[in-house]
Amino acid sequence: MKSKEIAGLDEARKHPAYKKVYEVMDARMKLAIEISEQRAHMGWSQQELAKKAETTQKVISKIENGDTNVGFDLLKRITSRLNLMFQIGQTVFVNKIETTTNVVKTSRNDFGSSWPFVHAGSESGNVSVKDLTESREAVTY
Amino acid sequence: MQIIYYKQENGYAPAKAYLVSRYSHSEGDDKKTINNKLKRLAKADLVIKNAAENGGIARGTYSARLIGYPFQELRSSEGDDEVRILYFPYRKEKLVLLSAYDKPDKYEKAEKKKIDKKIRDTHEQTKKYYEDFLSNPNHYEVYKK
Repeated sequence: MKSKEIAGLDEARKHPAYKKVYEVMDARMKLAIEISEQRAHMGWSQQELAKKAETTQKVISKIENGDTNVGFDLLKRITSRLNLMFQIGQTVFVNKIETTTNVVKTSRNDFGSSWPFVHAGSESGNVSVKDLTESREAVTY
Repeated sequence: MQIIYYKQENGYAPAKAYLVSRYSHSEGDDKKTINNKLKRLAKADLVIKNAAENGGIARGTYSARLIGYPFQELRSSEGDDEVRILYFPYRKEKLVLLSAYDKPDKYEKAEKKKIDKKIRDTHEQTKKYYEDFLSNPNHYEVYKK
């Protein structure tokens, strides 16, 4: 028997937890887009990226669908193989070289063919080190 | 682009009806179920917004063309929830949500034919919605996020 609907979509979107999950999903999706577009730019299949990043195609697929919470180590391997930069606080992780910098403004041109997924001022990349170190390689909610 | 639901003359909007049935809270939902529904609704909202903000084709792996049909699909997945939203950009002004369905993430090999047929039937039905919208482009409901 179909259960009785007690709240429509508008009401659901007003739920206090909605905003929180929306922000999480938004960040995951931004990350997913940067990774999948850069992979396509490099001309690699998900399988090829998986091999280079020492993971499986299924994990790459989940990341590119924004369907998983990526751990720090795997994220670093993926971005490194894809020549993508990412930044936490003042530490920039790029091409296997970790540097500390005050430069926060980045653009695609700053890194040749790379496409940074953490943009200055964007909440999409603001992940705390605590969150990252505590997370597993890929945790599916 | 403005996001709209295609609506029939009798007021039925298939895409909206699907989203409501899937993501609205129901009597007896526990906290976990409500949280899952909210997460999936947020994901669907973001995928739709992604397409609308990018000229009708979502960035990343979120939209796909459908061979033989004049509309496309948006892919929203979260956990075991695999939803396809059928849509098309109308005159570069509107993103028209025609219908939606869920695609099982895992299924037995024997079920494949049955699932494929169900998907084909949905596409054929959606083609009728598409044609109906083109003949009555004022029949729509604004999608409110």
